[in-house]
Amino acid sequence: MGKVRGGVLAGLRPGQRLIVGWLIVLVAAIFLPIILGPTGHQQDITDDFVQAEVYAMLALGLNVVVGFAGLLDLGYAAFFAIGAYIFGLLSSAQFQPTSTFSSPIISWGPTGIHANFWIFLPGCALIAAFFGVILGAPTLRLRGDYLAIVTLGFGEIVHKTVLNLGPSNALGWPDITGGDNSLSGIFQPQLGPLQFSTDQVPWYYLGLAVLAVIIIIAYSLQNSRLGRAWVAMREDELAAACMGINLTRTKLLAFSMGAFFSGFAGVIQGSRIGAVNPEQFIFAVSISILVMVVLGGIGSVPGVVLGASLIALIQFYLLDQLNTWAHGNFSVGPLNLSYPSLVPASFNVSEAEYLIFGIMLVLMMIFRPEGLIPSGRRRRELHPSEERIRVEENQQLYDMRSEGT
Amino acid sequence: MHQFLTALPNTLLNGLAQGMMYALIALGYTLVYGILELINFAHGDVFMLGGLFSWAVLVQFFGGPLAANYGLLTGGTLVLALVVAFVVAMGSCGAVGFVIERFAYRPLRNSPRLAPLVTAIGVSFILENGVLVWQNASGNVAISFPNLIAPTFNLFGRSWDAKLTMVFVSSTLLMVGLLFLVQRTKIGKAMRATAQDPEAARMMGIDVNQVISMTFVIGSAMAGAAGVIYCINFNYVNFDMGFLAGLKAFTAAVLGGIGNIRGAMLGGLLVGEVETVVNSTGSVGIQWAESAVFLVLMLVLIARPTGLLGTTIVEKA
Repeated sequence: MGKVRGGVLAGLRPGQRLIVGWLIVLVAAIFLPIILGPTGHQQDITDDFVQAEVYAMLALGLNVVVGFAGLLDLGYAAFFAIGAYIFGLLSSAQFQPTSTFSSPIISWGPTGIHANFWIFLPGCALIAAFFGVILGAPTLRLRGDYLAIVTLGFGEIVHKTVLNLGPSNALGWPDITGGDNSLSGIFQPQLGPLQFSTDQVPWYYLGLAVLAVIIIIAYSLQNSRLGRAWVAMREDELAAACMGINLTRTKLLAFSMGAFFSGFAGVIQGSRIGAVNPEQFIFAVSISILVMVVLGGIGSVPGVVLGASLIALIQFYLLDQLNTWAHGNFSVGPLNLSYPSLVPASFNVSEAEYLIFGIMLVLMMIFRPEGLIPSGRRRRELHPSEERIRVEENQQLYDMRSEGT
Repeated sequence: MHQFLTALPNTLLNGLAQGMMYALIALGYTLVYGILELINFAHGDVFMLGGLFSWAVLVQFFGGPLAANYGLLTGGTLVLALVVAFVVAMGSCGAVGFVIERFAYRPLRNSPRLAPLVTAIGVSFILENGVLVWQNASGNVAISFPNLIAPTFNLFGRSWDAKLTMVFVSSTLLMVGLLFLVQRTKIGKAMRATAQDPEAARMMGIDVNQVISMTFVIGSAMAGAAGVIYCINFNYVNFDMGFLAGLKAFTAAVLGGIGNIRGAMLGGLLVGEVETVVNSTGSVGIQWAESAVFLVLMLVLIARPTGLLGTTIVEKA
């Protein structure tokens, strides 16, 4: 890693290098909207960056479950949905109680329920964490692949439930979630004189602050007693249990921490867009988050953030570019080329988004399974030949053979 | 309620047909899992490809009478069309399975367990979205599968549901064939040996790589056949039909105890029945049938973490 960072950071110890590295990223991120300038175009780009922040929160959460604890969760978008929907229900005109109630935390009346964003941001994350425990509890006895399929099933059930509790549902219940019409009109927060609305810059800084907190939590978790318990459990459940690790508690904490992070993402995304739709939480979304984690490096905090940023870059920028390029207009900087379209005029390259993700997953796993910024432990695991210990083992084997002959 | 009960025998029969289809797909999951301990996520999409390939061939070769009004075939032409559809689907899906194993899974044989699973998800996305892109680019957005079979036929002086008969006959033949292959032939013996202990199998002179390739070919061929059956039954092919069908079939395999061939068959029938019965209870059932399937899966796994017929797996030291 030192070689990659090179020059300025070369003289620092790894821990310091990490902090300096993150500070550089943070400073760059703080000045980004200022650099982009106050043009109309800026809003679009900032919007993409907020989206990237939400992705990074999700990826960091899934990384706790998959990377730290080694529990493959294929229904992770469900927790994202739970955070978004619970906040949406508590902070919109979806329910219109006839009684009125007012307090700084939550108030309601005929105009809807107004939950205080700043309290319910962590609050809904906690509720999502609680759902993490609810899902985790029945799966405690399951081995890896069974766990994967049950989490997948849970994700599908949450998706279906949201769809089925919409207007004129078969149960004859009142409309709860808005169904596939989506739950709209979610109120947006206010901070002092600043009203969050369609201007993306405040959202960007809010996302940045939350993301920074989540990154700090992720690092502290990784280096904590709990983090070491997760690693031990990931490597060998039986041995971990024998060393006195409470598997039940450790697993449930992994699920709930992962869900906790995605709760933040859900609240921010729901409030920012002002609406939530079941299509935002389909299986493909769970897989996209998994792609971010795998691409960046399973178990690696900086890797996962990079992975999320790259996926956002592909989704919001590269696919559009590829589309114009494929339709016969190549322009990068001063270079301008025009040629016959490579694809039918009606074809939009962004339709191939998940095809591209699929190819990326396969290629990454075959050629660089440790991800772009691997966690140290996983790199050693996947490339044992680089380790001196393996050399010594081979040496010994060789000696024994030569003695035998 | 009364209506539900009077329709119940028919519902159960339909559930059985649905279940046999799931069982055919589930067999592929279970065969691969038994040997490699890998969830072949792309299996559902191979099922979809089976339908797609047979559609392409049917339209190509029987285009005349089919293209006119997607009309029904009778007698010899029908038998020929069915045979061609099954042979093409099974052959091409077998080839796809072979290629997937060779290029996506084999390089990762010795990686940590998560790696091949992630690759499998990637392959699934490639197949599914590759077909989506093809469908959109070629203008085949909604493909209707030729309606080959007349709804009923007369035999022994009464009329029979032709599609159900086709599902029962072809699925039973395929499953019996597979059981025979696994239990009575040399390659089946090699497969069982490899599933039990790959190292020991290798020492006994079994070419483990070849056995694994064969397993993928056989499993994928079964999925291809299931694809044909499904498409003839429901008269459509679409890029996303493999996802839910694959998921339910996998649920079936897990329900029965993954790695266990009879378990996959039992689980398939169970999932088919649960889904069809819940579906038959009216509009509430239709909306919640899928959730019911996954709920049953969760409940069974909580009670029996290794499925209904699965053996307890001893944690490796």
